Amino acid sequence: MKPAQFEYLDPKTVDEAVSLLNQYADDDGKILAGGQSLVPLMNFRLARPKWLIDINGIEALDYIREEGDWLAIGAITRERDVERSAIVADKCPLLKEVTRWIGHVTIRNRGTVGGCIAHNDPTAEYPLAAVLLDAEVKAQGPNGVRTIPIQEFLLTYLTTALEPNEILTEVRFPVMAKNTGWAFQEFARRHGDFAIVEVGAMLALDHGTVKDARIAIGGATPVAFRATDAEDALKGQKLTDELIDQAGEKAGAMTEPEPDVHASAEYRTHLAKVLTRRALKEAQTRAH
Amino acid sequence: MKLDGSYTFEAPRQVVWDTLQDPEALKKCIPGVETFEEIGQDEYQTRMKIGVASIKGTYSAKIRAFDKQEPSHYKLGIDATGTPGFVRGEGTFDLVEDAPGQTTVKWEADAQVGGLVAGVGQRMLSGVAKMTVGQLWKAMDGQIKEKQGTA
Repeated sequence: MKPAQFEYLDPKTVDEAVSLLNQYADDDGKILAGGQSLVPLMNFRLARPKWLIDINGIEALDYIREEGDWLAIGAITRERDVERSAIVADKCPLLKEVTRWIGHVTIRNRGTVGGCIAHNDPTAEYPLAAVLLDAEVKAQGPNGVRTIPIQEFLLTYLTTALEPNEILTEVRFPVMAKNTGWAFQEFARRHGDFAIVEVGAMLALDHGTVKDARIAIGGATPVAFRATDAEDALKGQKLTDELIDQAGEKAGAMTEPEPDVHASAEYRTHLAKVLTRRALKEAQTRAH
Repeated sequence: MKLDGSYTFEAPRQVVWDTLQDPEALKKCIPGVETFEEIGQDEYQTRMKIGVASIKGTYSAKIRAFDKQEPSHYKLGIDATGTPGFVRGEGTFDLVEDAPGQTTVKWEADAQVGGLVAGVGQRMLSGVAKMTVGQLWKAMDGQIKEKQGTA
């Protein structure tokens, strides 16, 4: 398993990388971040970029910092650094939790936040977390930097709103309110496998009444989505087990899964319901 | 791999039928089409680039239309091979007039997919296949609107 021939480029600044990408985008140029998806695809020769622009040398893209109400994470920040970051644990604990579910430690040692979001696998954990938290993505192209809300960024299977000559430079997650309950539930045959279905939930409660609810589901549609029907069913209501069951049903009804060898469409819908219930119950215990 | 779906056109059934059978329209509408030649009655040879993001493969395909019952029913056979694998299958298309000026195409397909793309890409295969068919209908819709606009 060896990749098809390619030219390797090694820029040291974002400007340099953008200019290289702008030059080679139309000639099968491709950005290499952590390489945990792209390199296997190249070795299988399913992806055959002609020009590989390696951004791992751009140290300016390796950071986790708090900027007001946002947690800003540079594109080549390793997943393992997110997992071990004290700022992430404090400001956005959900993000720390989902990181644990990405592949294995060796993968997280190389895999990057930007790479995971830009790759946009339908079952990947970071796109789901980004959808749940209403994250934003910063991208730089020849015409400058733009900020894109995550819902507009993730388009469909492995496809984002990044222009061919744009580089994702930063992912911005809103800082979570301390009293928000949250949970992440994933089902895969083995830990570290691609998820079959995954669900994230956030709950803001006021004396047992739901002030705000968010539910995001991955693996059951081309892109992780917000189960708004289930969210609406919860809002303003007293949070009971019965209500949680109803929300699970509503969330399941919003899935449009495709069957594959791992799971039938019906099973994925079933998982979405069950995991939504579990996530809401777990979030309930954390909300105060 | 079994797939099905439907698409509703705001056009009379005959117009939809004519467009779907028109090689020129097909040439414009097949996603990622590079070449498209008529090699016989209802038989076409095409080269197309299919896939998502950087995982695209070029396939050389033979497409054959048969079992035609104008204007309501036809079948397509496809035999495609390319570097990432092969696709062989058959699709059935039924055109139903829901109301005057509105036609729904119901389709179902049974395809065998083999090679690398089936092994590595199978997690997203049926989703991407459906999406690609969706692109075809959308492009056809554009063609039909264009036709009706000039009619």
